[in-house]
Amino acid sequence: MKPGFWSSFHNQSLLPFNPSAAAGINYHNRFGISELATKTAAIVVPLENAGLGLIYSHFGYRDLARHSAGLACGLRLSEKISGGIQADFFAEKTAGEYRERRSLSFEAGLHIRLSEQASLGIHVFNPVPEALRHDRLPSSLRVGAGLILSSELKVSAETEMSTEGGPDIRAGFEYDPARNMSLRGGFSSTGNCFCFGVGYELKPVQIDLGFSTHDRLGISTAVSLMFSFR
Amino acid sequence: MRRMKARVIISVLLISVRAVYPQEDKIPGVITEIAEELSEYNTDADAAGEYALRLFELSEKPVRINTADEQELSRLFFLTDFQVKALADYVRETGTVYTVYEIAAVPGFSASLARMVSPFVSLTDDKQETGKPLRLRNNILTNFTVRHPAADTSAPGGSWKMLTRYRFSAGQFSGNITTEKDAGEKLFPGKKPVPDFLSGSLLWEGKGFVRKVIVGDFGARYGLGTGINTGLRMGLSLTQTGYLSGGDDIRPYTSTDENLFFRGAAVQLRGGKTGMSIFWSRNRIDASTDTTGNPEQVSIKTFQRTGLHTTASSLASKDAVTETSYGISLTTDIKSLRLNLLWSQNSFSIPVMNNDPSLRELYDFSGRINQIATAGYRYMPGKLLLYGEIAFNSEKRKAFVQGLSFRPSDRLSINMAYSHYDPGFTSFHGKGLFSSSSGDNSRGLFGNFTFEAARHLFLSAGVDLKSHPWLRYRCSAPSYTARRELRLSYLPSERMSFEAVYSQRQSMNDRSESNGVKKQYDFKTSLLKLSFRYLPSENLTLTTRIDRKWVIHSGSGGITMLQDVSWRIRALPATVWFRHCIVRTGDWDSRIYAYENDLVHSFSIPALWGHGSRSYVMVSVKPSEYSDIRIKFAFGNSSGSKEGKNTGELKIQARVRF
Repeated sequence: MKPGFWSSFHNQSLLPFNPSAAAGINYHNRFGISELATKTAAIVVPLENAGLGLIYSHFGYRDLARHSAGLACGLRLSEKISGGIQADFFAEKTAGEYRERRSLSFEAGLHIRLSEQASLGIHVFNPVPEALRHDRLPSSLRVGAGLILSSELKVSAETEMSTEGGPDIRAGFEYDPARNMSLRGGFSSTGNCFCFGVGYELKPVQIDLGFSTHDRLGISTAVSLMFSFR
Repeated sequence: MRRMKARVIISVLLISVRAVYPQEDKIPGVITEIAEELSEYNTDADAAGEYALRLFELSEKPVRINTADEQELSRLFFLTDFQVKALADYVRETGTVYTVYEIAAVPGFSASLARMVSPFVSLTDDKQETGKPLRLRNNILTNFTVRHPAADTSAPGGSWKMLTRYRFSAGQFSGNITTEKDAGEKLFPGKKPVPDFLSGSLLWEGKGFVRKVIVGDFGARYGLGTGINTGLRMGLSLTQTGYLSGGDDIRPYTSTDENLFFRGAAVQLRGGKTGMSIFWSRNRIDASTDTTGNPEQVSIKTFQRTGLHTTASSLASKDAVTETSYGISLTTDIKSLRLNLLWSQNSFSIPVMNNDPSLRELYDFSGRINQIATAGYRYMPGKLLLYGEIAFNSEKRKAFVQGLSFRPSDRLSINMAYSHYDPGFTSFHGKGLFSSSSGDNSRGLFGNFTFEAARHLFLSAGVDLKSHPWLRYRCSAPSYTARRELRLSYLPSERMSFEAVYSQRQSMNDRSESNGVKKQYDFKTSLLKLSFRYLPSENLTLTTRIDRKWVIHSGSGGITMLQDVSWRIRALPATVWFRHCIVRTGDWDSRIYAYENDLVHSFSIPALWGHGSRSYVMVSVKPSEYSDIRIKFAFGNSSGSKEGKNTGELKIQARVRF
């Protein structure tokens, strides 16, 4: 819910809030298994009352690989409301005689500032008729709210429901003990997952580290590096 | 003077928030919930359509509250008698109402109720209209609907559905013609070029002794509806205080139910405090006929109510029987007491036979003629309302309703009612208060309350308990049904509302696996609905809703999460509605209903089940003041859908006014 580089691809309506052009890379290793790692690279470009973003992601290994790319655009619709949309391309390749599966879709988001302290976010992924494509692609809906409790502490919560799973309720916080440092924590009801992270800004670079637990599958780690072109 | 000043201040304050109620959104959330509740009754699903239609009609011909008497105000059929009287008293005492938001200050009304009423009232008065020359107003509406996959590919006609409705008004005269072709039907099924369903009427309205004259197709409701009520069954919602208002009404028929209306003439008269209504009808209705038992005598086996003519048997049953109905109703007001009497008769061209009935059908009607006599009252001394009605038919079966409403304070209202419908009490055009869907075989106790627990916080609860002394559909033993509901609404501002509703339904059904004497089981479901509605600007409305359902006996359950966005684009001018809904339910029993915005004069409440999603986009464009076009495209996919994995629906509507 908090505007930022990576959250702009979580909800594209946050793209207009990026103060400067930025590029970033991210590595997410699930459960300590390198074959389940996701590598992501993205850039955002701010425009007047708008923002553009480009993201590429790769998941998997030689025998099962998924590539995804997205071109996103966010726009301030009014003083309180902003909206965003992202065109997505997915390609999935499996070793052996299986064909390569490719899909096109889109996702869209809305961000509403309820007050100086509170905001609301809505995001839909793939609201496209299944009949238009060969391969099934899940669809999801997310609704959440964020609250600024003080200049150091922000909290947020959201609910997500997907056609592939039950509802997932998430909640999290971000605490800034120092001007350049953030501590983060959160919980997700799917898999009773707890996550923790730390971010440090050494202008023009920001480094973020995070890890999450799963009640059966273990620990996942993530690291990201973001460079701002101020 | 002080009151006048206060009202002006309220008006000025409220004008500033006027923009938060978009007029295109004619069906506020509270009302859609009632429509959803109606659709839960599979046997009475058309009631939701009737309900939506009446709301649209009301929005097109709003009640002029500044000049309306109590009878005119009762056209706001979702208000209670209390609220109608309080509004009439307010207008009488204070004069002109300047904004609809002033209604929130009327005793018995809240901000949310004022919002609900706002699309259906007008603040212009008759004097502003009387100076204008008589003007002919015409309104033509055409709907075209096509679905994929088609429901029945072997049907004789095209898989598209079409509805055309023409209405005109000129001063005290108005009229309408409706034609409809259902999916699978032929456009012209007979030799003459006449559509499958054709309906029309002419109405004259006066303010003197003769109040209304209708020639053609019409609907009627008298008293509490045990004798005659061709419209909505009253009293279905458990926690809405409204919807209980009784009263005599005849109205032109504009719905598309092809069987349950009158065709002939009706007159409504009023002299002083006494009113009279007379009607006569001869209508051809659908019924399957038989010669079982007596080869010489053709008799009615079953009345066909679906109006669908897509198979050989349904085409054979089309217009097979002539039904003649007539009746007279008298009503008189003595101070706070209203008395009403009704006598009516239905006769069929061939008799209804019940020669060898199963146990369940033992009390079913047989014969050619059915007469109904009802007597009712309504008494409203101060904050108490008492009402009741008793009805007998020619088989000496009776129906009886007695209820009371009590408003000890403006923040609390309480309703209670007892209903009794004998097995075999047959009223072919009746839908009595708190009756079951079959109209007979129930004894019930109903109660609810609404309480403004704190500022902006409303709590309401209701319970409807019924016993069925005789067998009924899917239950081969005396049984009971129960419905309970608890509703909490929080409206912190005009732009924001939260609502939580918990409801339970319980009934007894036959076990499918039992042989011989059927055994029954308790079928019990619980439903929790959470909704949040927010208007960030006057052009944008957001609604988020999560429904969770549990089916107790099977252990299955379901959950849906949906997001509605309604955006009015002033520059075009156009309005866009979008919904994305994710569904996960275990089986058909755990299905969840969710009202969808639809074409004007139309409705959609799909049953969501299986694993998948359902979405729609609807666009309404107004190229000129005299016309508008609405297009809706809905699609979904579900692993459990009866119609197929992927479904799609396209609806197009054009309206022209001149």
